[in-house]
Amino acid sequence: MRQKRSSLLFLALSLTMYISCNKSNDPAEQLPEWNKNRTITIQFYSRLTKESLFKTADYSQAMNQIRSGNQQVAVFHRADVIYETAVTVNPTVSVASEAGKVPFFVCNRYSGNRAEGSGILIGHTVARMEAIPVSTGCTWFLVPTRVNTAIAMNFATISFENESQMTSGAEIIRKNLTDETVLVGVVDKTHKDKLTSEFAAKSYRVSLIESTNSQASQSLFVLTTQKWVVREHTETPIGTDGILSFNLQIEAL
Amino acid sequence: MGIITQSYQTVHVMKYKPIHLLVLLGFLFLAGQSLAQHTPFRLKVMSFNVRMSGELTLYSVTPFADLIRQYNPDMIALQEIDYKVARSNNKDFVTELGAALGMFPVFGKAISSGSGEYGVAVLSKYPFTSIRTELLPKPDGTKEQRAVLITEIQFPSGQNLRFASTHLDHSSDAVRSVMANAVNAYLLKGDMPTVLGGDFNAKPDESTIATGMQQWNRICTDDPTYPNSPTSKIDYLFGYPKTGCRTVSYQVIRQTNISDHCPIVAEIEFQ
Repeated sequence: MRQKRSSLLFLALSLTMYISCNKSNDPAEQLPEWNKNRTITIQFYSRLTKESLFKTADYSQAMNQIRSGNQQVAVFHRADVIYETAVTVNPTVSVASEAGKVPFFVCNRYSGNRAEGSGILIGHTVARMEAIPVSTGCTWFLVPTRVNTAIAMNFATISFENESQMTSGAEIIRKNLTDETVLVGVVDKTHKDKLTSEFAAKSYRVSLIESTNSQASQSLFVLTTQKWVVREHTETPIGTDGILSFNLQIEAL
Repeated sequence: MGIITQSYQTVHVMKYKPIHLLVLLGFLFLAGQSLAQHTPFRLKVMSFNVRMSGELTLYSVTPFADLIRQYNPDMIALQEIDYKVARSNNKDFVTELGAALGMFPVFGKAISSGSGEYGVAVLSKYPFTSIRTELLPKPDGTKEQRAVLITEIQFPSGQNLRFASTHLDHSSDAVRSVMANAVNAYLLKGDMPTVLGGDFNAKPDESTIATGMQQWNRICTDDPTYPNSPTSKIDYLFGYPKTGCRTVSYQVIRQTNISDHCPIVAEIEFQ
């Protein structure tokens, strides 16, 4: 009986997760069966607050997860670089070196002795990368990635702290978001309605992912054209000091 | 009189709308950017051919990191870089070196090498805003495909810099001249301060340098850079716009014993 109840609970949870992942702009949309061979995995690390991701230089848990994971892209949201007199603390490059990945960094702003922004890790070298400053604290970043011979993906990211960033950023996104682009970003919770309204057109698919952490002031979002769909996401804490790890399964339709 | 003045001011304040504030903020933003671009700024740059990603250090990055740390450059143009090549233990040399120094690495592929890649690289203290690798032409007589890695970097001051690394073919002056012209076509555009570092495999009197690079300000001297106890000048640092940059200091770091090339390091000021 207990086993049956657990199964039902699991089924209900899975269904909730499935539904919450697919906030398509067309509620009546019928999706085809999930093709896992055309699915990419993105691992997104964030506190979903305005704080820096790493409070110490111990990156071992995230690094081990990336080293053993099958993600095509890993993102370290707010993996700020600290320029100290004797050394520069650069978490993204440290993790990349240990995990055998190629690092990039999206600089949102310089603040004091810090470069605030996000680290991106992928599994191969690239011939192109572009970061376009939107406004102070906000930068559009795009890098082409090789998932496999059947799927080409341009990975993009952006973080929105306020409404004016979103107004300028939305224009850049509309200009650069193609059928090959998967944009995974962060938006302040107070501005998520503005985000969904900016991309209300049927050609886009916006998925908002909320953390279970009540302290989170930001939401994760995935923005694509209708050629992609978020099939599943899971959230797990990394360590005990508030770092969240989101595993996103996104299918190329 | 005071009342009249006050109402006059009030009328004017009332005319301002949010759009005016946005225009003003936009103007201030652009003015700030423009000012940053035209304020003289100094930077320290290095170019270093590391001999097959450290063949002489048994592929350890540590001796390279120790040496670079002493000179503390803002950017480094690197040549003969392996990315996951068997001969250098399948390492990602530039990412490992970047991690050791806290710098941002980027690799630019010229050719495949076994299951890995071989080419050039750049290390920067500050994040890249753009990266692109362009393959250079292969005229008759070319021995190996070569590339130029072009990066753009924004400094904390708001200054933007284009920084590139290349390694020209060792075949002939004629081949290298064609490659140098292609590098120029990619880099000599606009007025963004630009630094190019590389192993040109060409002596100063060869047409590759004497003619091909005359639109650049040669930041370095003709002091030899190759081999470890140098007798030949083949490594260079160039700045552009030619009249917009000057060499503050320049040094060939001789006999490092970690490569068959001597690293070259310069402090530059852009106007």
